[in-house]
Amino acid sequence: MADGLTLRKEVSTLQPAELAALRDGYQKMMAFSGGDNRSWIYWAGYHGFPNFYCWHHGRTGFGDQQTYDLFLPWHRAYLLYFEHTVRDQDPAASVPWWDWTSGQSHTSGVPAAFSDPTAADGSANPLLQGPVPPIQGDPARQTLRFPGPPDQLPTANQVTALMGLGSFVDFTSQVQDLHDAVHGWAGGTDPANQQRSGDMGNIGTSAFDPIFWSHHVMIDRIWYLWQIQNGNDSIPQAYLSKPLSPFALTVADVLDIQQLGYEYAVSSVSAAGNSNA
Amino acid sequence: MSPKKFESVPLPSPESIDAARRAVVEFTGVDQAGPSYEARVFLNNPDAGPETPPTAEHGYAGSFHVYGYGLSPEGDPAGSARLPMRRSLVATDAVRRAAASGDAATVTVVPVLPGGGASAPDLLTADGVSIRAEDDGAPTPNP
Repeated sequence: MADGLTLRKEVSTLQPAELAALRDGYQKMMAFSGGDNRSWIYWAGYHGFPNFYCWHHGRTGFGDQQTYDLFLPWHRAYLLYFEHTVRDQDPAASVPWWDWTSGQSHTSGVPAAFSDPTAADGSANPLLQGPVPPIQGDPARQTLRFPGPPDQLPTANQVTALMGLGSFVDFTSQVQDLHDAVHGWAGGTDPANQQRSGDMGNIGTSAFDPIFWSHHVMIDRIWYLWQIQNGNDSIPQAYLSKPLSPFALTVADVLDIQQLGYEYAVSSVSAAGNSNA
Repeated sequence: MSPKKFESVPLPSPESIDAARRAVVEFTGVDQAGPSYEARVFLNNPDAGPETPPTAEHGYAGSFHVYGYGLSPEGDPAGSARLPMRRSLVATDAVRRAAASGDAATVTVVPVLPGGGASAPDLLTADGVSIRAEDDGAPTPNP
Protein backbone atom coordinates (compact mmCIF):
# COMPACT_ATOMS: atom_id res chain seq x y z
CA MET A 1 0.00 0.00 0.00
CA ALA A 2 1.10 3.59 -0.54
CA ASP A 3 0.54 6.09 2.30
CA GLY A 4 -1.94 3.65 3.90
CA LEU A 5 -4.00 3.54 0.72
CA THR A 6 -4.77 0.37 -1.17
CA LEU A 7 -2.90 0.54 -4.45
CA ARG A 8 -4.67 -0.85 -7.50
CA LYS A 9 -2.42 -1.94 -10.35
CA GLU A 10 -2.90 -3.26 -13.85
CA VAL A 11 -3.24 -7.03 -13.76
CA SER A 12 -0.29 -7.75 -16.07
CA THR A 13 2.00 -5.73 -13.78
CA LEU A 14 1.20 -7.70 -10.62
CA GLN A 15 4.18 -9.33 -8.96
CA PRO A 16 3.82 -13.08 -8.34
CA ALA A 17 3.09 -12.54 -4.67
CA GLU A 18 0.41 -9.94 -5.51
CA LEU A 19 -1.29 -12.26 -7.97
CA ALA A 20 -1.08 -15.07 -5.45
CA ALA A 21 -2.75 -12.87 -2.83
CA LEU A 22 -5.57 -12.01 -5.23
CA ARG A 23 -6.09 -15.67 -6.07
CA ASP A 24 -5.99 -16.55 -2.39
CA GLY A 25 -8.65 -13.96 -1.54
CA TYR A 26 -10.94 -15.01 -4.38
CA GLN A 27 -10.52 -18.71 -3.65
CA LYS A 28 -11.43 -18.25 -0.01
CA MET A 29 -14.53 -16.28 -0.94
CA MET A 30 -15.55 -18.96 -3.43
CA ALA A 31 -15.33 -21.62 -0.73
CA PHE A 32 -17.97 -19.99 1.48
CA SER A 33 -21.62 -20.93 0.98
CA GLY A 34 -23.86 -18.48 -0.87
CA GLY A 35 -25.66 -17.26 2.23
CA ASP A 36 -22.40 -16.28 3.92
CA ASN A 37 -21.77 -12.55 3.56
CA ARG A 38 -18.10 -13.28 2.98
CA SER A 39 -18.84 -15.38 -0.06
CA TRP A 40 -18.31 -14.90 -3.78
CA ILE A 41 -21.90 -15.79 -4.54
CA TYR A 42 -23.20 -13.31 -1.95
CA TRP A 43 -21.28 -10.36 -3.41
CA ALA A 44 -21.76 -11.26 -7.06
CA GLY A 45 -25.45 -11.60 -6.30
CA TYR A 46 -25.69 -7.89 -5.52
CA HIS A 47 -25.06 -6.99 -9.15
CA GLY A 48 -27.45 -9.31 -10.94
CA PHE A 49 -29.31 -12.37 -9.84
CA PRO A 50 -30.99 -12.43 -7.33
CA ASN A 51 -30.83 -8.82 -6.13
CA PHE A 52 -30.24 -6.71 -9.28
CA TYR A 53 -29.04 -3.69 -7.31
CA CYS A 54 -26.79 -2.59 -10.18
CA TRP A 55 -27.24 0.63 -12.14
CA HIS A 56 -26.90 0.53 -15.91
CA HIS A 57 -28.12 3.30 -18.14
CA GLY A 58 -31.48 4.55 -16.92
CA ARG A 59 -33.47 3.09 -14.12
CA THR A 60 -35.73 4.55 -11.51
CA GLY A 61 -34.31 5.03 -8.10
CA PHE A 62 -36.04 4.62 -4.82
CA GLY A 63 -39.15 6.72 -4.75
CA ASP A 64 -38.26 8.64 -7.90
CA GLN A 65 -40.40 8.63 -11.01
CA GLN A 66 -37.76 9.84 -13.43
CA THR A 67 -34.86 7.73 -14.51
CA TYR A 68 -31.27 8.73 -13.93
CA ASP A 69 -27.94 7.02 -14.35
CA LEU A 70 -25.71 6.26 -11.38
CA PHE A 71 -23.65 3.68 -13.27
CA LEU A 72 -20.25 5.11 -12.27
CA PRO A 73 -20.79 5.93 -8.59
CA TRP A 74 -22.77 2.77 -7.90
CA HIS A 75 -20.06 0.53 -9.32
CA ARG A 76 -17.37 2.47 -7.47
CA ALA A 77 -19.19 1.74 -4.21
CA TYR A 78 -19.71 -1.88 -5.21
CA LEU A 79 -16.01 -2.36 -6.00
CA LEU A 80 -15.09 -0.76 -2.69
CA TYR A 81 -17.18 -3.15 -0.62
CA PHE A 82 -16.07 -6.11 -2.71
CA GLU A 83 -12.39 -5.24 -2.35
CA HIS A 84 -12.78 -4.86 1.40
CA THR A 85 -14.28 -8.35 1.47
CA VAL A 86 -11.39 -9.77 -0.57
CA ARG A 87 -8.86 -8.07 1.69
CA ASP A 88 -10.62 -9.51 4.75
CA GLN A 89 -9.58 -12.89 3.37
CA ASP A 90 -6.09 -11.81 2.25
CA PRO A 91 -4.88 -8.38 3.41
CA ALA A 92 -2.23 -8.33 0.71
CA ALA A 93 -4.78 -8.46 -2.10
CA SER A 94 -6.11 -5.55 -4.13
CA VAL A 95 -8.33 -5.79 -7.18
CA PRO A 96 -6.34 -4.92 -10.32
CA TRP A 97 -7.64 -3.31 -13.46
CA TRP A 98 -7.62 -5.10 -16.80
CA ASP A 99 -6.43 -2.71 -19.48
CA TRP A 100 -8.38 -3.92 -22.47
CA THR A 101 -6.84 -1.18 -24.62
CA SER A 102 -3.27 -2.44 -24.21
CA GLY A 103 -1.23 -3.93 -27.00
CA GLN A 104 -1.11 -7.15 -25.03
CA SER A 105 -4.89 -7.32 -24.74
CA HIS A 106 -5.30 -6.52 -28.42
CA THR A 107 -2.93 -9.37 -29.26
CA SER A 108 -3.84 -12.02 -26.71
CA GLY A 109 -7.28 -11.06 -25.47
CA VAL A 110 -8.08 -12.13 -21.92
CA PRO A 111 -5.00 -11.73 -19.70
CA ALA A 112 -3.18 -14.89 -18.69
CA ALA A 113 -4.04 -14.25 -15.04
CA PHE A 114 -7.68 -14.95 -15.95
CA SER A 115 -7.19 -17.58 -18.63
CA ASP A 116 -4.44 -19.87 -17.32
CA PRO A 117 -6.07 -23.08 -16.10
CA THR A 118 -3.68 -23.36 -13.17
CA ALA A 119 -1.94 -21.04 -10.77
CA ALA A 120 1.84 -20.96 -10.33
CA ASP A 121 1.67 -23.76 -7.76
CA GLY A 122 -0.30 -26.02 -10.10
CA SER A 123 -3.59 -25.63 -8.31
CA ALA A 124 -6.78 -24.66 -10.14
CA ASN A 125 -6.84 -20.94 -11.02
CA PRO A 126 -9.72 -19.25 -9.20
CA LEU A 127 -9.54 -16.32 -11.64
CA LEU A 128 -10.49 -18.57 -14.56
CA GLN A 129 -14.12 -19.02 -13.53
CA GLY A 130 -16.42 -18.51 -10.59
CA PRO A 131 -19.34 -20.36 -8.98
CA VAL A 132 -22.87 -19.55 -10.13
CA PRO A 133 -25.80 -20.58 -7.90
CA PRO A 134 -28.97 -22.24 -9.20
CA ILE A 135 -30.88 -19.66 -11.25
CA GLN A 136 -34.39 -19.94 -12.67
CA GLY A 137 -34.36 -23.71 -12.73
CA ASP A 138 -30.78 -24.09 -13.96
CA PRO A 139 -28.42 -25.98 -11.64
CA ALA A 140 -25.36 -24.53 -9.96
CA ARG A 141 -22.35 -24.34 -12.27
CA GLN A 142 -19.15 -22.47 -13.07
CA THR A 143 -19.09 -19.36 -15.24
CA LEU A 144 -18.59 -19.61 -18.97
CA ARG A 145 -16.60 -17.32 -21.20
CA PHE A 146 -16.32 -17.20 -25.03
CA PRO A 147 -14.17 -14.13 -25.71
CA GLY A 148 -14.19 -12.50 -29.10
CA PRO A 149 -11.28 -11.59 -31.37
CA PRO A 150 -8.73 -9.50 -29.44
CA ASP A 151 -8.66 -6.75 -32.04
CA GLN A 152 -12.34 -6.02 -31.38
CA LEU A 153 -11.64 -4.69 -27.90
CA PRO A 154 -11.93 -0.91 -27.41
CA THR A 155 -8.84 1.10 -28.22
CA ALA A 156 -6.76 3.60 -26.29
CA ASN A 157 -7.90 6.28 -28.75
CA GLN A 158 -11.52 5.61 -27.83
CA VAL A 159 -10.72 6.06 -24.16
CA THR A 160 -8.67 9.18 -24.84
CA ALA A 161 -11.62 10.68 -26.73
CA LEU A 162 -13.76 10.34 -23.61
CA MET A 163 -11.43 12.57 -21.64
CA GLY A 164 -12.52 15.58 -23.68
CA LEU A 165 -16.17 15.22 -22.77
CA GLY A 166 -16.98 17.98 -20.33
CA SER A 167 -20.37 16.73 -19.18
CA PHE A 168 -20.57 13.99 -16.56
CA VAL A 169 -23.85 12.75 -18.03
CA ASP A 170 -22.38 12.62 -21.52
CA PHE A 171 -19.20 10.93 -20.25
CA THR A 172 -21.26 8.38 -18.31
CA SER A 173 -23.23 7.47 -21.41
CA GLN A 174 -20.22 7.08 -23.67
CA VAL A 175 -17.94 5.26 -21.26
CA GLN A 176 -20.83 2.95 -20.54
CA ASP A 177 -20.96 1.98 -24.21
CA LEU A 178 -17.31 0.90 -24.08
CA HIS A 179 -18.15 -0.93 -20.86
CA ASP A 180 -21.07 -2.68 -22.53
CA ALA A 181 -18.93 -3.62 -25.51
CA VAL A 182 -16.33 -5.34 -23.31
CA HIS A 183 -19.00 -7.24 -21.41
CA GLY A 184 -20.35 -8.54 -24.69
CA TRP A 185 -16.85 -9.28 -25.97
CA ALA A 186 -15.73 -11.15 -22.87
CA GLY A 187 -18.90 -13.19 -22.57
CA GLY A 188 -19.14 -13.84 -26.27
CA THR A 189 -21.28 -16.48 -27.90
CA ASP A 190 -20.78 -20.24 -27.66
CA PRO A 191 -19.59 -21.25 -31.15
CA ALA A 192 -21.32 -24.61 -30.68
CA ASN A 193 -24.62 -23.07 -29.57
CA GLN A 194 -25.50 -19.53 -30.61
CA GLN A 195 -28.36 -19.53 -28.14
CA ARG A 196 -25.84 -19.54 -25.29
CA SER A 197 -23.68 -16.60 -24.34
CA GLY A 198 -20.94 -16.32 -21.77
CA ASP A 199 -21.76 -14.94 -18.36
CA MET A 200 -19.92 -11.64 -18.76
CA GLY A 201 -22.45 -10.83 -21.48
CA ASN A 202 -25.43 -10.96 -19.10
CA ILE A 203 -26.15 -8.47 -16.34
CA GLY A 204 -27.77 -11.25 -14.36
CA THR A 205 -24.64 -13.42 -14.09
CA SER A 206 -21.62 -11.33 -15.10
CA ALA A 207 -20.36 -10.60 -11.61
CA PHE A 208 -19.85 -14.29 -10.93
CA ASP A 209 -17.00 -14.24 -13.49
CA PRO A 210 -13.72 -13.14 -11.81
CA ILE A 211 -12.78 -10.94 -14.75
CA PHE A 212 -15.86 -8.78 -14.05
CA TRP A 213 -14.15 -7.05 -11.16
CA SER A 214 -11.01 -6.13 -13.07
CA HIS A 215 -13.08 -4.89 -15.99
CA HIS A 216 -14.94 -2.58 -13.62
CA VAL A 217 -11.76 -1.40 -11.94
CA MET A 218 -10.64 -0.33 -15.44
CA ILE A 219 -13.89 1.62 -15.84
CA ASP A 220 -13.48 3.16 -12.39
CA ARG A 221 -9.93 4.16 -13.21
CA ILE A 222 -11.08 5.79 -16.46
CA TRP A 223 -13.60 7.79 -14.43
CA TYR A 224 -10.85 8.75 -11.97
CA LEU A 225 -8.66 10.00 -14.84
CA TRP A 226 -11.64 11.89 -16.25
CA GLN A 227 -12.24 13.49 -12.86
CA ILE A 228 -8.63 14.72 -12.74
CA GLN A 229 -9.12 16.46 -16.07
CA ASN A 230 -12.72 17.63 -15.76
CA GLY A 231 -13.56 17.82 -12.08
CA ASN A 232 -16.95 17.08 -10.53
CA ASP A 233 -18.87 20.29 -11.23
CA SER A 234 -20.86 18.83 -14.11
CA ILE A 235 -22.43 16.13 -11.98
CA PRO A 236 -26.11 17.13 -11.70
CA GLN A 237 -26.75 18.52 -8.25
CA ALA A 238 -29.73 16.23 -7.84
CA TYR A 239 -27.44 13.22 -8.15
CA LEU A 240 -25.17 14.04 -5.23
CA SER A 241 -27.54 13.01 -2.46
CA LYS A 242 -28.79 9.90 -4.22
CA PRO A 243 -28.20 6.76 -2.19
CA LEU A 244 -26.12 3.99 -3.72
CA SER A 245 -28.23 1.25 -2.26
CA PRO A 246 -27.62 -1.19 -0.71
CA PHE A 247 -24.35 0.47 0.30
CA ALA A 248 -24.35 3.08 3.04
CA LEU A 249 -23.00 5.70 0.64
CA THR A 250 -24.31 8.49 -1.54
CA VAL A 251 -22.93 9.74 -4.84
CA ALA A 252 -21.19 12.59 -3.01
CA ASP A 253 -19.47 10.07 -0.76
CA VAL A 254 -17.64 8.32 -3.60
CA LEU A 255 -16.19 11.22 -5.58
CA ASP A 256 -12.73 11.13 -3.99
CA ILE A 257 -11.04 7.75 -4.22
CA GLN A 258 -8.35 8.64 -1.72
CA GLN A 259 -11.03 9.38 0.85
CA LEU A 260 -12.35 5.91 0.09
CA GLY A 261 -8.95 4.46 0.87
CA TYR A 262 -7.45 3.56 -2.47
CA GLU A 263 -5.55 4.95 -5.40
CA TYR A 264 -4.36 3.87 -8.81
CA ALA A 265 -0.80 3.02 -9.78
CA VAL A 266 0.74 5.45 -12.22
CA SER A 267 0.68 4.15 -15.76
CA SER A 268 3.99 3.96 -17.57
CA VAL A 269 2.40 5.09 -20.85
CA SER A 270 0.70 8.43 -21.44
CA ALA A 271 -2.38 7.18 -23.26
CA ALA A 272 -5.33 6.84 -20.93
CA GLY A 273 -5.86 3.27 -19.92
CA ASN A 274 -2.74 1.93 -21.60
CA SER A 275 -0.30 0.56 -19.08
CA ASN A 276 2.17 -1.16 -21.39
CA ALA A 277 5.64 0.36 -21.60
CA MET B 1 -35.90 -11.78 -40.77
CA SER B 2 -34.43 -8.42 -41.76
CA PRO B 3 -32.48 -5.97 -39.67
CA LYS B 4 -34.67 -3.25 -38.17
CA LYS B 5 -35.38 -0.28 -40.40
CA PHE B 6 -36.74 3.14 -39.62
CA GLU B 7 -37.77 4.98 -42.76
CA SER B 8 -38.01 8.70 -43.48
CA VAL B 9 -36.30 9.80 -40.28
CA PRO B 10 -36.03 13.61 -40.47
CA LEU B 11 -32.53 14.94 -40.68
CA PRO B 12 -31.27 18.24 -39.28
CA SER B 13 -30.41 20.80 -41.91
CA PRO B 14 -26.85 20.95 -43.24
CA GLU B 15 -26.56 24.44 -41.77
CA SER B 16 -27.49 23.28 -38.28
CA ILE B 17 -25.09 20.38 -38.51
CA ASP B 18 -22.28 22.68 -39.61
CA ALA B 19 -23.00 24.97 -36.69
CA ALA B 20 -23.38 22.14 -34.19
CA ARG B 21 -20.72 20.50 -32.16
CA ARG B 22 -22.02 17.11 -33.24
CA ALA B 23 -24.95 15.12 -34.61
CA VAL B 24 -26.56 12.31 -32.67
CA VAL B 25 -28.75 9.39 -33.67
CA GLU B 26 -30.93 8.48 -30.71
CA PHE B 27 -33.04 5.37 -30.21
CA THR B 28 -35.81 5.15 -27.65
CA GLY B 29 -37.39 2.17 -26.01
CA VAL B 30 -34.40 -0.12 -26.51
CA ASP B 31 -35.14 -3.24 -24.55
CA GLN B 32 -32.32 -4.75 -22.54
CA ALA B 33 -33.97 -7.94 -21.32
CA GLY B 34 -32.20 -10.47 -23.46
CA PRO B 35 -28.60 -11.21 -24.41
CA SER B 36 -25.96 -8.64 -25.23
CA TYR B 37 -25.32 -7.53 -28.78
CA GLU B 38 -23.76 -4.83 -30.94
CA ALA B 39 -26.19 -2.66 -32.88
CA ARG B 40 -24.57 -1.43 -36.11
CA VAL B 41 -26.27 1.65 -37.51
CA PHE B 42 -26.35 2.51 -41.20
CA LEU B 43 -27.87 5.57 -42.88
CA ASN B 44 -29.53 5.29 -46.26
CA ASN B 45 -28.52 1.67 -46.74
CA PRO B 46 -31.77 -0.28 -46.40
CA ASP B 47 -30.05 -3.48 -47.49
CA ALA B 48 -27.36 -3.39 -44.80
CA GLY B 49 -26.81 -6.67 -43.03
CA PRO B 50 -24.24 -8.45 -40.89
CA GLU B 51 -21.86 -8.81 -43.83
CA THR B 52 -22.03 -5.14 -44.81
CA PRO B 53 -18.63 -3.53 -44.23
CA PRO B 54 -18.78 -0.91 -41.47
CA THR B 55 -17.46 1.86 -43.68
CA ALA B 56 -18.61 5.32 -44.66
CA GLU B 57 -19.19 4.30 -48.25
CA HIS B 58 -21.80 1.80 -47.04
CA GLY B 59 -23.52 4.38 -44.85
CA TYR B 60 -22.07 3.09 -41.60
CA ALA B 61 -22.72 5.62 -38.85
CA GLY B 62 -21.31 3.73 -35.91
CA SER B 63 -22.59 1.27 -33.37
CA PHE B 64 -23.84 1.05 -29.82
CA HIS B 65 -23.76 -1.94 -27.54
CA VAL B 66 -26.52 -3.46 -25.48
CA TYR B 67 -25.48 -5.21 -22.29
CA GLY B 68 -28.48 -7.38 -21.74
CA TYR B 69 -29.98 -8.79 -18.58
CA GLY B 70 -29.97 -12.30 -20.03
CA LEU B 71 -33.40 -12.98 -18.61
CA SER B 72 -35.54 -15.91 -19.58
CA PRO B 73 -39.06 -15.14 -20.78
CA GLU B 74 -40.52 -16.84 -17.71
CA GLY B 75 -39.09 -14.52 -15.13
CA ASP B 76 -37.98 -10.95 -14.72
CA PRO B 77 -36.48 -10.63 -11.26
CA ALA B 78 -34.88 -7.37 -12.30
CA GLY B 79 -38.30 -5.77 -12.33
CA SER B 80 -38.27 -2.00 -12.49
CA ALA B 81 -34.50 -1.97 -12.65
CA ARG B 82 -34.77 -3.11 -16.23
CA LEU B 83 -36.45 -0.35 -18.16
CA PRO B 84 -36.29 0.19 -21.90
CA MET B 85 -33.40 2.50 -22.58
CA ARG B 86 -32.63 5.51 -24.63
CA ARG B 87 -29.38 4.96 -26.50
CA SER B 88 -27.46 7.55 -28.49
CA LEU B 89 -24.78 7.36 -31.12
CA VAL B 90 -22.55 10.30 -32.04
CA ALA B 91 -22.50 10.15 -35.83
CA THR B 92 -21.66 13.66 -37.03
CA ASP B 93 -19.90 12.77 -40.26
CA ALA B 94 -22.48 10.18 -41.32
CA VAL B 95 -25.39 12.50 -40.59
CA ARG B 96 -23.70 15.34 -42.44
CA ARG B 97 -23.24 13.10 -45.49
CA ALA B 98 -26.87 11.98 -45.37
CA ALA B 99 -28.15 15.56 -44.94
CA ALA B 100 -26.22 16.62 -48.02
CA SER B 101 -28.50 14.47 -50.16
CA GLY B 102 -31.89 14.86 -48.51
CA ASP B 103 -33.98 15.92 -45.54
CA ALA B 104 -34.73 12.42 -44.32
CA ALA B 105 -32.87 9.15 -44.07
CA THR B 106 -33.52 5.47 -43.69
CA VAL B 107 -31.89 4.22 -40.53
CA THR B 108 -31.01 0.53 -40.61
CA VAL B 109 -29.90 -1.22 -37.45
CA VAL B 110 -28.13 -4.57 -37.71
CA PRO B 111 -27.91 -6.41 -34.35
CA VAL B 112 -24.89 -8.68 -34.18
CA LEU B 113 -24.06 -11.19 -31.48
CA PRO B 114 -20.75 -10.57 -29.72
CA GLY B 115 -17.65 -12.42 -30.74
CA GLY B 116 -18.93 -14.42 -33.62
CA GLY B 117 -20.48 -11.70 -35.72
CA ALA B 118 -23.60 -13.76 -36.27
CA SER B 119 -26.67 -11.73 -37.06
CA ALA B 120 -29.33 -11.57 -34.39
CA PRO B 121 -32.18 -9.78 -36.15
CA ASP B 122 -34.79 -10.49 -33.49
CA LEU B 123 -32.87 -8.93 -30.64
CA LEU B 124 -33.37 -5.23 -31.19
CA THR B 125 -36.57 -3.75 -29.86
CA ALA B 126 -36.83 0.01 -30.10
CA ASP B 127 -39.77 2.40 -30.18
CA GLY B 128 -38.26 4.94 -32.49
CA VAL B 129 -35.30 6.94 -33.64
CA SER B 130 -34.50 10.61 -34.02
CA ILE B 131 -31.52 12.45 -35.43
CA ARG B 132 -30.54 15.82 -34.08
CA ALA B 133 -27.73 18.32 -34.16
CA GLU B 134 -26.39 19.42 -30.80
CA ASP B 135 -25.12 22.94 -30.76
CA ASP B 136 -24.71 23.77 -27.11
CA GLY B 137 -22.44 21.00 -25.91
CA ALA B 138 -25.04 19.83 -23.43
CA PRO B 139 -26.62 16.60 -24.64
CA THR B 140 -29.96 15.34 -23.46
CA PRO B 141 -29.25 13.11 -20.48
CA ASN B 142 -29.39 9.52 -21.54
CA PRO B 143 -31.31 7.22 -19.26
